[in-house]
Amino acid sequence: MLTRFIVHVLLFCLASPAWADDLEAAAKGLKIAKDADTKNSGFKSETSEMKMLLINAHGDRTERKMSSKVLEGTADGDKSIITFLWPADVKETRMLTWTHKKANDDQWLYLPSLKRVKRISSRNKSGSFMGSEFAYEDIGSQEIEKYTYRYLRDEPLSGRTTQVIERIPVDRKSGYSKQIVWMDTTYGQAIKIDFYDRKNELLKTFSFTGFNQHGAYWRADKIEAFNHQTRKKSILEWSGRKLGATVDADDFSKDSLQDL
Amino acid sequence: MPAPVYIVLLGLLGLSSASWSKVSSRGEIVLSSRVFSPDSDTLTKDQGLALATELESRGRHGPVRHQVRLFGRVAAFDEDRSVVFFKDAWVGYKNPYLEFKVGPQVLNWTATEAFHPADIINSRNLDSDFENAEKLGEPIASIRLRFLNGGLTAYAMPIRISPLFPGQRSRLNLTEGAALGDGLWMTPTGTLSSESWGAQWALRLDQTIGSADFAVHVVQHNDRTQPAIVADPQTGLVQPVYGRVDRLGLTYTQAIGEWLMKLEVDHRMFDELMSGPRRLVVRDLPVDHTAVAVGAEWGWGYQLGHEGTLILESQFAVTADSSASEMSQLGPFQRDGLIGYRHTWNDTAGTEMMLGAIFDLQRASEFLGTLSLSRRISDVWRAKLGMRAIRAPEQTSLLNAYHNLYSAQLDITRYF
Repeated sequence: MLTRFIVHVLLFCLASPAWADDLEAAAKGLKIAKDADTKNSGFKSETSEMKMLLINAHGDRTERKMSSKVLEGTADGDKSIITFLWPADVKETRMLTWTHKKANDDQWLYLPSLKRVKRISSRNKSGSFMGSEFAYEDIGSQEIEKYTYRYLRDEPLSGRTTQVIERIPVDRKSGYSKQIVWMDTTYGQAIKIDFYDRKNELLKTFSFTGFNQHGAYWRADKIEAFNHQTRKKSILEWSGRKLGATVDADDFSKDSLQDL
Repeated sequence: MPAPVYIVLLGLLGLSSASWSKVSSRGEIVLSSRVFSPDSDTLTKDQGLALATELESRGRHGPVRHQVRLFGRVAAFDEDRSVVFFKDAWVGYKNPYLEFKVGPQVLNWTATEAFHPADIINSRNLDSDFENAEKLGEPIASIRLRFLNGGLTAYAMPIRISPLFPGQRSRLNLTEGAALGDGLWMTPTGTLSSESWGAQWALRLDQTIGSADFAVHVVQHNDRTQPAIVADPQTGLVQPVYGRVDRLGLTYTQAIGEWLMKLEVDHRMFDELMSGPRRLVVRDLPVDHTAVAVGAEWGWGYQLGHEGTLILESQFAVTADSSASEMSQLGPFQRDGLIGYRHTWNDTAGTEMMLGAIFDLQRASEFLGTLSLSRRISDVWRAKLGMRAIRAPEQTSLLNAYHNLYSAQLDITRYF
């Protein structure tokens, strides 16, 4: 009995520094994420045009075009509308997303040929967005509450000062086991993210470039997504981006989807 | 709708694009061929070829909006399939509290994928897709009070639009080659009229609460989905009669984890048909009943990035006290189940496959199976191949006219 007690005490003493380190890393990771969120809060709204280039392993290229509107949420998550513009068969198809900090997102799809607004399940987060290397969960609003965090290290990257954090999706339905994020200390934005699949193998890397300042906010105008497993690449580019643009809050409703 | 009204509407909508702060358009041209398993009837055409187009324009200038959707088809072999009609041609005003629209509109009041008992306003072109028939725009004046995450809409529908029935040469003809006269409308007094003008109205309350969307409707109009059939004994002319009906129903969709649960209910109370001495009632209006459809949809992803969706639905009719023959007159799907599977490749060609089987839960031998494959050929072209098989051996079934009907359809669509 005494021996067992001594062993427990010894183990506790040995493990305590590790626990303390973990707690400290988690707190610092969360703080970095919160600081970035604070830096990006208050933009109110954002409108932009998006072009996505899909490049397969043989180098064949296909283009997609969209427009996007985002309304910043105050109490809960953001609301967004993506209108598909190209290829022609999906033109005017729209996806409305109400992001929630904790609950599953609400999503609706407007199908112009049927003139139908259909609620869709937001649970298949790992599904490909328009056949690209971006998943639905990559495109949606990245609320702090959707991950747990751990600070890893400070590291310069491409001449920028970054803090590297690990974030683990809270939702077990996420397609990722973890993400390693290089967070630029000036931009308050990620400039690189490594995504690991559910088997904990490196799946893809996002590289963020073309940062521009819009008032107090920095935004990347280009994300290059490279899938290490399939060798496919997708490049998402923004143009005509306006932060704080006048958007009609009323548009972000289910019944407005078909009349935009 | 009278031609001058259309001309005025089109004139209004034809304002230069500069008049609208935001104008968008889309359209498609479809070369469609279909083939049926041969029958012994020399009148009907087992092959069909058609060129169809749908043009859409929408504009927005502040709170003022418009939308025009025009559909047209030119058919070879069977010119009865050649049609042109508006799906939408409305102008409207919208602010955060109020919305007003006037002009032909297509309304989509449905939650389910296969059975749509609550999707009741628009007439259909019954010589189009069997599972997803083209809708004809119904002239509507609507006002919507917007509140919370939805609103309350009142509709006045003063002009009744008849469904388009398959012609005598169509393999989808239900009358076995007999000529069908123009439709007759039951008036509120129970008499029959050929006049398109008539009082019809609807109210619909819809809201989103949490992960659920629901809507409740009350409608008084002329039903187009379950017409009576009358015949003139002197001329032999057979005509459909669209009965007056009061409806109360709802649609409900809720996301629960990976599942989408769906419910549609429509209770129908028909006025009594008074055909008069000059007409024989070949088929009476249905008895009062409630049509209920329930469904569930479950989606999942595959390792390769493909997505699968399982669709389960059932529709059944509930009556107070009806005979088997009365039940069988309620429609082809009065006690049926659907198992469907959609597979999406998530590739750059947007390849999709849909497999569906509808089983009659009372008549074990009745079955409708469909398979469709669609794939983008380029950024502006898409091909879709569809196949369908219908077995309905029992004479009492409304699907019996289609017994052993096997068909395939290939659509090549150019989008712009």
